[in-house]
Amino acid sequence: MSVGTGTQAAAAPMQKYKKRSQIAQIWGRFKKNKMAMGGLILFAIMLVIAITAPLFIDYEVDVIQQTISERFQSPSAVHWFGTDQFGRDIFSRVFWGARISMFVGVVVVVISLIIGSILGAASGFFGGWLDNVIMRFMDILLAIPGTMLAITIVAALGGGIQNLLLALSIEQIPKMTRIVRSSVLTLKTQDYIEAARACGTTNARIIYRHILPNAIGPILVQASLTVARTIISVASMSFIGLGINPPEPEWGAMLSEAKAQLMNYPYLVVAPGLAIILTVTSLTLIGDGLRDALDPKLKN
Amino acid sequence: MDKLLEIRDLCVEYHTDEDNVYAVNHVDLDVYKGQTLGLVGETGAGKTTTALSIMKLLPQKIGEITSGDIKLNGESVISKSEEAMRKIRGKDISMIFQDPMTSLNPVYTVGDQVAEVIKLHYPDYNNSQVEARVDELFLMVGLPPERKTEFPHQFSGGMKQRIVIAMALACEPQLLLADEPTTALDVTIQAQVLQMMKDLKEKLNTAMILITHDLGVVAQTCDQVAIMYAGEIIENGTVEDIFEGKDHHPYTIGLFGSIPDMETKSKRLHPIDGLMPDPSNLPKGCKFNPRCPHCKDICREQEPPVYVNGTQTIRCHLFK
Amino acid sequence: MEMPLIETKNLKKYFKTGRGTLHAVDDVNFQIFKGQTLGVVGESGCGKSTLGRVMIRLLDATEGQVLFEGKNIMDYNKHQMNELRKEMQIIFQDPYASLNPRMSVSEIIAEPLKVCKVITNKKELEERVFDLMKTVGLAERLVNAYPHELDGGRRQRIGVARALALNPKFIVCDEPVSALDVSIQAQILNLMMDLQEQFGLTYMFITHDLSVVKHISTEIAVMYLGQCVEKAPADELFANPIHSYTKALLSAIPIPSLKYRNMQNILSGEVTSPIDPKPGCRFAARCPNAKPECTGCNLELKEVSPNHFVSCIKYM
Repeated sequence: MSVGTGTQAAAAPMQKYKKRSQIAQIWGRFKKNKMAMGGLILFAIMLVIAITAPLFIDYEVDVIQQTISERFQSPSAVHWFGTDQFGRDIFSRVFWGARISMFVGVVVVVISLIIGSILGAASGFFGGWLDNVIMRFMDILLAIPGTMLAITIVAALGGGIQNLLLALSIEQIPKMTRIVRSSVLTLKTQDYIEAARACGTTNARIIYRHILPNAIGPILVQASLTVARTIISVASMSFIGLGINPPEPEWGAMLSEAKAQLMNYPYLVVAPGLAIILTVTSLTLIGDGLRDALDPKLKN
Repeated sequence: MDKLLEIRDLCVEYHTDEDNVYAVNHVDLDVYKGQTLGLVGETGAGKTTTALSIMKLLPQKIGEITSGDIKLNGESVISKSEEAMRKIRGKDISMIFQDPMTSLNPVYTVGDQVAEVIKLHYPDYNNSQVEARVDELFLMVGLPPERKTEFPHQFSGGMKQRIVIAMALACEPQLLLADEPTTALDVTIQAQVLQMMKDLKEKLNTAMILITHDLGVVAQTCDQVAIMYAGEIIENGTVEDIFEGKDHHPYTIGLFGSIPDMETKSKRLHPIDGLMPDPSNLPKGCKFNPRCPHCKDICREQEPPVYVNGTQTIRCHLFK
Repeated sequence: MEMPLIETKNLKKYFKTGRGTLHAVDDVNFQIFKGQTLGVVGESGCGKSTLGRVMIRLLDATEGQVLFEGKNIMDYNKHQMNELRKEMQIIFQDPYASLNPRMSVSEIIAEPLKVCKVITNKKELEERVFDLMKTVGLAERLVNAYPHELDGGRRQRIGVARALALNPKFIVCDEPVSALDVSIQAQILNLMMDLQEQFGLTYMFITHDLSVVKHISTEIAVMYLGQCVEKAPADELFANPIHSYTKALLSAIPIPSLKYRNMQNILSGEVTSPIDPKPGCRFAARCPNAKPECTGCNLELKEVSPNHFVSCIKYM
């Protein structure tokens, strides 16, 4: 986003006056929201776990290797969340699973954000036949239930993480496009856009300097919710066997494996289930907090 | 003249997360039967808050009447229960808002919306009586009754405001609070609506508080004028006192100096310097002192007493 | 004779709508000379804002010409237009919607200078911003403030500073004071008149407020449903209005003086829609002096006394 850049880097007289960047103001408002901060802390912990997992977990030994002698152990000091049917430590697997979920969530959101912003901005800004072509195509994608679409793509192209990423991105792009387009539509009629035109500003500059910074609010909120939705999608795809395949420790796949043993060893579902709930909830809280914090009209 | 509404020492605060906003401070007002009081002031002067306090419609939890009393026909409104207030609203006191576009519900016909008010306050009316009353009200505000089956979007702004007025007058209230009723309208339509309100007021002997920022509208329609600044009434009197009297509060003089004079072509206007103070952080002493050209030491220290001159009152240290 | 700074010739702007063609501006002709102010008055929907936007070619005309210093700007290509943008600017009505909420005061004022690459040196740019802020009476300490932290009057000063940044010759002022409180309104009007004197600016001042327009204008054009019905020097128009609409408009202004109480002559009816208007006088339906021949004839502005033009069948 463009806030905070621009003239403030300049020379002497302007530096006399403290510049409080908008990012600082937004952060100030976000900080006051206890629920949002709770979500952010929770998500930060998850992220740290995902990034640092290889430092204290050995993928081959802890996550993949089967030790039949240790199967179905209840939670204990050695295995905090117990072990599964192949004797693998559930604690290690859940932590490693965070890497997969976070990775898929972030990649999907970046892809859908970039493509959705370009399509949505072009569609809303230029209108006319371009808008018609783009939006009718998006409508077609939206008309197919999301999971069904993803299942179809994976079924057609085969499993594997790349195809999964592709399928989930295609599911999210239309939603992102619609959000961006509707913000652009309301923003482009504002007087300050006309003022920009009156001094000969090019369309490209109007979009990136005036429209996108003002549309960033809904886009970021949508992005945080998209990550949450994607994590659920990955889990459900894996649960039905079309996502990440065993023995990779994906949360949904773990739930799927555990379901056969649910009656005898209910603790198997607790850890992966909790991981999904906590991650998704934290992202939703962040999204709500961002929505309030990003509105520049709200007073500090 | 019979006194209809009496406000004494009214104070209203809004509580926000950070601070308290002192919206109305020690306001005294009298409205007489059949008279129009013009409540004049700029944005944030506390005009609308005063009106909402009379209706007891301040936003719940945020807005609070901290002191004072409001009496309608000698009966205190402040102490009334919400249930009792609901019977008074629309029947004894009704209110017209600035924006006619948003005061009407877009999914009901305008006739139904007027009928709704009548049914609410006269539950024993049968359907044909209600319909007859609706027709009567439409004629009264200058609209053909056959248009009552149409929806709000089929009317222009001026006509919508007429419908809103018909709703407000449906139960022939004793007091009408009109909050900038013509600000959103064009001048020729404003003239029509104001004339109509004036005629109706005389016909029904309704008292009115007309909230406006336009001194021209006040001169054309009001009997009494109260000028508000930073939540206080700084000058109060008959329309002659304000427009033709000799003594004025410096703010009143500033307000008149800000309007381009239609008769003489002066090159420059004489506005008031500076801005209205932040209502959560009002200056000590006279609230107008930071902008006042006659500011003395005493103005920064003490709140000015009320100076009474016949029918006119002024809150300023300049007058003793 | 001196050449007008800007002039319109048979200017028309139509919009296609679902219900027919909307004649927002229909055959408007006038001239504005350097250093003068043309006040354009009319009620909502009379096409005055559209006219302002066509004048500086934020909208293209359907027909007719806008001559700026003698050249028709409707024929200009993109490059010529970009050069011309430095000469003509616009100030908007709503000081809340006309400033980008994500940009600071200095960024907003510097933006036109950056876009037109007038000043590229950062230091000079900064000096120019402070200079402009001083010109419009904004305190230096507000340089890094954001619009939402300021009141309406200060915001409108930012709008004025932005319009002045490129040293334009001509500024369209689209209701620049109608969203402001009276005392602030007077401050901004004074500022605009001072600036006009200081920089020799030419204004087209669009408003619905007749007292404001009388105060600031040298000449006034009264518009009704896309057409100019009367045009005269400001004092002449107020002293001697001819068109029935102008008379009604003048009489409808509430004057802050008790002398005129109960003296209004009130116009009946409301503004009709400018979609597919019938030929003839568009005011005929509301005109107290309308005759059968008012509809169906073609009217144009006639000079009835020096510089006083009226479009009415009585003077054809």
